[in-house]
Amino acid sequence: MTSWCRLIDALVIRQSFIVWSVWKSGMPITAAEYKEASGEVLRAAENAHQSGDYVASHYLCGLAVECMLRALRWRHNRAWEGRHYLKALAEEAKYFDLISNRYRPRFVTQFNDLTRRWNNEHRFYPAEKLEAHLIKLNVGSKSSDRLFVNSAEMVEFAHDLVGIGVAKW
Amino acid sequence: MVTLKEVDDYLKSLANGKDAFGEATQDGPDSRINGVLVHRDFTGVYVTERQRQLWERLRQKFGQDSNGIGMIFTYSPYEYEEMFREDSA
Repeated sequence: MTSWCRLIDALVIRQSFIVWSVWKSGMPITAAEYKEASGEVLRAAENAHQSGDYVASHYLCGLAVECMLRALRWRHNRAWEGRHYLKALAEEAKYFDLISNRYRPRFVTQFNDLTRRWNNEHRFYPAEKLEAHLIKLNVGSKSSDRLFVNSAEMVEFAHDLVGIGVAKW
Repeated sequence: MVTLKEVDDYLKSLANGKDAFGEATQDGPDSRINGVLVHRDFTGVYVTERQRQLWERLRQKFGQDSNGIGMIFTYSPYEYEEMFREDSA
């Protein structure tokens, strides 16, 4: 099993444990816990990128942003949201209200780029299938480094998108 | 186990030069230590490269204890200033 498979397995087991804990205790995940998770998952994404596990880092970048959006959304709506639709979460979280008009276009572009590339189902994608998905989106120009380029850009997007949430917390 | 003060002091020591800034934070006693490092050397450098350079230093400084450190966000002074700039009235 490759190291990124083990990494994702560990995160899925961790998430499953959290879901089980919530079900068992009836305690929701708090905004602070989502926020903390966003940093941890982003760090894991960067580790995966540095190790050359580009499929894992791609998935984890989207997950890190989702954690931050859930943290921010929690302040306005504490109802459980099972879907992983980032644009809807951002809207409910009033995410773009955090950012000044001057700086907003850059963030909206990064957010749109990340959401265009990422889907929660990508946790099941092998490298070949993710690469086919990226080709359809015209990400990267050479097949030899498409996954690397995408991973580096996803880390860039997620760093800034999670970072603004942390900075304006 | 690395402490908040140790990480904060170290980030501040790295934040040398004009408009540089370093700070560590911790949400709770058992939480990982997070932080921010603003440095002009990050200008025009990819986030992945900034992180690689920073974590090389953190691992050198704290060794295994660096596992207690979470996310350190890295910005150039321009990026950091822009992020906090409010719209003019």
